[in-house]
Amino acid sequence: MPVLYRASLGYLRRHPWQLFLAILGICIGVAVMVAVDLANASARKAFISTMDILNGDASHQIIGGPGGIDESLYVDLRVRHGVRDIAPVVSGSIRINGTTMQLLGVDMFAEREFRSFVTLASDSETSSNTAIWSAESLVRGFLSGEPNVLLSSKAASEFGVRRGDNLDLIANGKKYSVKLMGMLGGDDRQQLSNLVIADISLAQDWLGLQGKLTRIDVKIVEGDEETATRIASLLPSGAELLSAAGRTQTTAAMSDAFMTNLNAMSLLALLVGVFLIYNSVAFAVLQRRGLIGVLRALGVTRSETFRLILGEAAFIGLAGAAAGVVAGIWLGERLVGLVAQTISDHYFAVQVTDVAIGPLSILKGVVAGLGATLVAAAVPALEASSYQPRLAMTRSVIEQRTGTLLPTLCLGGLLLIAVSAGLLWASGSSLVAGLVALFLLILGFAFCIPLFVKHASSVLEPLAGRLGGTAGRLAIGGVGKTLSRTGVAIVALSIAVSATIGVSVMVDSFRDSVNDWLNTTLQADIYVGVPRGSVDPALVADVVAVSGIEAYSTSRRNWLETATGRIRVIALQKEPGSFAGTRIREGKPADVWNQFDNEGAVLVSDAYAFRLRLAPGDSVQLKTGQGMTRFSVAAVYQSYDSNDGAVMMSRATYDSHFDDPGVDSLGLSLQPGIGADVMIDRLRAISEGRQVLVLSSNASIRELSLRIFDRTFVITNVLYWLAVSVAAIGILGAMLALQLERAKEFGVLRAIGMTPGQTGVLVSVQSGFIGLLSGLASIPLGLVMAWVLIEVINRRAFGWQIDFTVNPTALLWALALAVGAALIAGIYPALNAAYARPALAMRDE
Amino acid sequence: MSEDNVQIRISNLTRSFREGDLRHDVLKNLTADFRRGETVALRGRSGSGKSTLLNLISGIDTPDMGEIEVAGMNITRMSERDRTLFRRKHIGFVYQAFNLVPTLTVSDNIRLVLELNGTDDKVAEQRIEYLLDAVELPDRGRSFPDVLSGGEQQRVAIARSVAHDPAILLADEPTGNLDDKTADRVLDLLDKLVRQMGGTMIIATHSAAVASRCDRVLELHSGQLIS
Amino acid sequence: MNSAVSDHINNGLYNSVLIILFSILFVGCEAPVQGTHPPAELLPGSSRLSDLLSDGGLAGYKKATEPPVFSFPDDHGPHPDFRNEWWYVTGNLDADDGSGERFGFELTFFRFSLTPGGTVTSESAWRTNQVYIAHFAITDVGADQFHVAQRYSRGGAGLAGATSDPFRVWVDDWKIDAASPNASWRLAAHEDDFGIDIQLKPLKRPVLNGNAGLSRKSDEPGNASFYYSISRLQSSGTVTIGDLTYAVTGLAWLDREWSSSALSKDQRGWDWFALQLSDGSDLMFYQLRQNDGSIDIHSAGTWIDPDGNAVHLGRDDVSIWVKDYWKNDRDDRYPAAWQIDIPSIGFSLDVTPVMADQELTTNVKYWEGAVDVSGQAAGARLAGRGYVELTGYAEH
Repeated sequence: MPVLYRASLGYLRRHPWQLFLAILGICIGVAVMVAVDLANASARKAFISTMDILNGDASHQIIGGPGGIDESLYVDLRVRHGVRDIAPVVSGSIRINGTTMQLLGVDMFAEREFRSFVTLASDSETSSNTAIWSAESLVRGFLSGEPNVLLSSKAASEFGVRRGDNLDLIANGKKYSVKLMGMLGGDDRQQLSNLVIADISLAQDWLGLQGKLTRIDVKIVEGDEETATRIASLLPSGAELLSAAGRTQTTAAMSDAFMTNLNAMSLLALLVGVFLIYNSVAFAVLQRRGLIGVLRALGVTRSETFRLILGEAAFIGLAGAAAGVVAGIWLGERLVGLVAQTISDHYFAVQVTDVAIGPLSILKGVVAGLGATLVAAAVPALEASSYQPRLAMTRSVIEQRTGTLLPTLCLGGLLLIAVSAGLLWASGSSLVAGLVALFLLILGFAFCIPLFVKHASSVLEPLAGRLGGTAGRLAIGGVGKTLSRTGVAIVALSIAVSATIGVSVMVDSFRDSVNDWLNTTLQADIYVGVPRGSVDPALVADVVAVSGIEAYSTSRRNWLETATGRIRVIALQKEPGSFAGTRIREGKPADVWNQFDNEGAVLVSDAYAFRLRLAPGDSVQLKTGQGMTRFSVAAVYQSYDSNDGAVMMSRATYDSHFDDPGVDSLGLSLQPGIGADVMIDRLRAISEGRQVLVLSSNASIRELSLRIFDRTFVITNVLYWLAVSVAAIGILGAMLALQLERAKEFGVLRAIGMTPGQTGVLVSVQSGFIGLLSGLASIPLGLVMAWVLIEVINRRAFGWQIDFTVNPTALLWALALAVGAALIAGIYPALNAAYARPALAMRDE
Repeated sequence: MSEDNVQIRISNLTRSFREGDLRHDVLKNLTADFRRGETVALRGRSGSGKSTLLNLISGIDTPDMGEIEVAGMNITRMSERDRTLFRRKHIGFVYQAFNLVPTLTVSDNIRLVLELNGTDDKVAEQRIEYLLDAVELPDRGRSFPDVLSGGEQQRVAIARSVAHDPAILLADEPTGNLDDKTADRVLDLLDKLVRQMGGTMIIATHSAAVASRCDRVLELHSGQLIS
Repeated sequence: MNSAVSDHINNGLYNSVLIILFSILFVGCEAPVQGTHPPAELLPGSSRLSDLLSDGGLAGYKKATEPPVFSFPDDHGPHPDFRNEWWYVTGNLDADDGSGERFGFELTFFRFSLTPGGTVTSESAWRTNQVYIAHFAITDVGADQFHVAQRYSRGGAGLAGATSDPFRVWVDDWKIDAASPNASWRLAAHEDDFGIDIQLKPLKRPVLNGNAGLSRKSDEPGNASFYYSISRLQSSGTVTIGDLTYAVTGLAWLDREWSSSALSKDQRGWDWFALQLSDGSDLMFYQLRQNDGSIDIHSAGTWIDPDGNAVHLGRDDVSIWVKDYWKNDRDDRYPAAWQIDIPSIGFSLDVTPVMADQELTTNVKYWEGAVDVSGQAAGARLAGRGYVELTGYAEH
């Protein structure tokens, strides 16, 4: 290694903590990014591979409306039209031992073209694909009329059952004792562990789907448009032929907005990391201005100097990125559960236990880490190479230069904020543009912070002087006068803290809005449903006839799938005279319910209205049993239950368009004087031996909803705490560097009689002041960020409308966080300064 | 003084600094020649511009007006990069504060200069050994500068300054931080090495003792040189 | 007969058909069609098979013990109390265009009850214990091509099944059906590159084989089937080969049989002949071969005179001499020409396949092909056509 580089490495070796903190900062930034990327990619990959496996060799699927497809369509296709390579599927959620599983009802004779894990199922405990015997016994087992099922060996061992054992299965509110007939074939894949396979007749009976199919799998050779066209032409209105892979993609794409937001959060951590790197490299340059001067005098050119500093940064960046990738994989394994949980709560069931370590995620992390480092280091490196090879480059010159730069920097910041505002205004509903604008906004604010600090410190200096004498003035004034060193750290901490403000204000506002919404929506006293299914119509009739019920409502919530995604269709039979527990956002409340009840008009959720730019008076087209049907929009209503968008219609409207008589839940309003307990007992009695009813009070549903809500934001919290910790590391690094810079100053102070305690306090006060300034600077940024998150990001990503509410304690917390982080980071430097031996400090050149 | 023997030619050199709104001319229309092989002492009060003149000659600084020719090359018209390369090759520097690179060993400090000049590793090795012998520090090659005494550090600095056989050696108060006895030793060494390589040496100094050892003494006063 | 196949299947081939079909379906190897043979390793080992044959799986099924009282059209329909049953149609057809093109065809529907006690049902229309398998073959004599395909399905949800009034038996879009109770039958089956669509009109009434329809397969009581045939069905319609569709006419033969029996282990296979002769009479005879090469005493047949009257034939009424053999690619040797003498009715017939390779390379391998007949009946020259089924020859 050339001596020149050894000179630079020697410096890093002598200041290992500085090196360590710089590497740690970039490491955490990269780790968060890699972790989120891996977790997202793993969740997505797990979903897609599960779907691919479940779809088997199906290239297409025929799907119908919310009630599924009439099974006669399948029979017609085969028997009347001679279509082969199709397989019927009846599927739904069931429960075994409290675990939600997917029941897949299949016809063994049609399966052979589609799912080898079914047709290779065997009687052996460790699945294999041998056994002709097993193929025959499979058909026998499936058609014998016994309640035989297949599980993966993994699921079987989790449930502690062996072949031939019985286990309880709850479907559509009823309990069935089923027998484990054998294990799914093929490799024992993780993706199958959520699956229960049974004959299609059992699946129909268990799920109450007699006469219906969930879908028809179709195998069409790639490029065989003729067959596809022919099959499509044979379908009745209300059914359509979609590409299986396309359906999977469309479903997977539902969580895109969520994943984009997570990625943005991870980039925030990296952004804070960038400031840290800038900080570290800038210090390293500042401290070596003498050395660089000597080198320049000896004939080292500017570009050599630039390369030297950049090379050093690249080393830090590479080390940080490498460590970050390792830490990111570790963190990703922890995050993936949270990501999968959220996706399962809100979008589609996905099970991920392993993080798929994608080379792309890792490459992204390394490139981002290294790139961020080089960008961050470019400024100090340029600065270093611009040094005149003069040997007495004084501190004050640098500070003076920094000082004159501040207004320009601030102006640039304001410009960025303006660009950001323009982008927000001009970018329509693009989520990515919204996020870019958010980052520009953060950068713009960041550029303004140093000027604020300078003024704040010079305004406060006299006050500090009055309170704390010369030492106080030294501490407070020092911050503004050493901006070249403290500025960046303050900016980093401000951004991190403002992110916590922005996110917590957004989450709090969101939670308040959801809570309000739940209060409005949950009007009935008791809600009646069945686990995994719909309430038997006869039971519905009996339930509503129970004495003590003043009024009732029913609802059916189902998916309507289209080529571009799915929407929720809600059929509501509301209590007479009630407002269906619905808060109208847009529309004339006086007319809405008449149109809803009598004119077949629908209500659309605010998310759906936002996405399709719908307003009352417009209309939506939905594929119903009669083909594409136009519904007029009576109102836009507030809803947080699905960001895919929801369309609500009266039960009568629903029944006239869809063949789907099920009822998911009943809302019962009790007569005065009837207690919920009494009613629950009556309902239990009436449902005895029929369906297992889930009876919930409105309070328990609200509680459960909020619990899911909180669970959704766990990962957000984790991410912003990581950003704060990156910033705290930045403060620690800045304080240490500052103390090192000022070692001589402290030496002098100690020499003229300042006690170690006083010196320590001086440094701590300074740290605290840095934290306070960061906290103060973060409040406006945080609030603006919260506003952007609520009004722009959330709206564009999920379509949710949230009422902006600020809880002042959140701001106080943020201030406390900033000061606390700075004080903690300042402990070590304070001790260092306090115990500095004055003689040594003075001698040190 | 014969024409062809001129190593450094300075004509009408002006350099001023700004202090707030005030302009202060440090050098004003300064003209001077330095011959090959001569040692010149530069005297003057603090702030008289001695360091500024040395910085200008080495190309570290650039004049506001006037020209400097070194070994036939007009360094005032060179780009920053060319001046740096010129300095790397032709100039040796010795400072009052030694200015050794603290993170490099004694050997590496010397090696740095040789490496910058593209000296072959083997040759560099021999050269370092020779120079450490010459400055009487044959066994301190692996030491870091901070364990050396002031005199020892300055001797390393001298070794470094002549390592690449510069045509010109500039010394800025080389003995300012040293006691008399050490100062003598250092000056002997400088003298010996400069004369050996036949270079030109300019020493900025307050000291009459130092000045008396030089071929010529020039006094900087009000931005002008007076012999 | 189709007693041939009937016994064949009764004989545990019931099991083997199922097993082999299923295994091949599920192991993922396409059923071989048109002369491509399945890899031998997909076939079960015989030891394994024989284990399966000796299962006690017959308990609870209805058995053929007494001569039945047939009732039509009801008995054209299914008998789910019995374990297995089939509708077996074969025939010879000529192109109407005078080109001389001729075709043989076979369309067979097998029904199996997986559990005894008749059909099972639930709210789901898919619930069933009935399984249907169908074989379809066309012999294209002019092109020397033999086309084969098979189908299988549950007998539920309308995917496959059989009804008596109006008559219908089908698997997917392969079917034999009557538009109304007394209408003539239509037989239709289509694959991508061959198909058939013909009307069938009985020229004779159903004839009861064996003892008034009870066809005994061994001495063991209940080891028998109910068995009737319609030996002469006027056929007209179309045959499609590739892109060409031929208008065709000819004669077909229907065999109907149901039982819940299994054969003894010493029976190896059978040769079944169904011949329609130029004198207006028809002949059915099946010869059960034992493992030791001898002919089982229960071999039997029926001669149907031009008016539809039946004459029962026992083993010793008929002598069959194999005049030639044919080997398939796998070195299985099938008889390929016969001389049949029936002294009691004065027949001496030469029976020759119209094409050597008419082996069904379905999962259960057997030879079932169109044949020509020439010979003498009491001194007068006699010609005819028919179908022959040979089982138990495929070793590989």
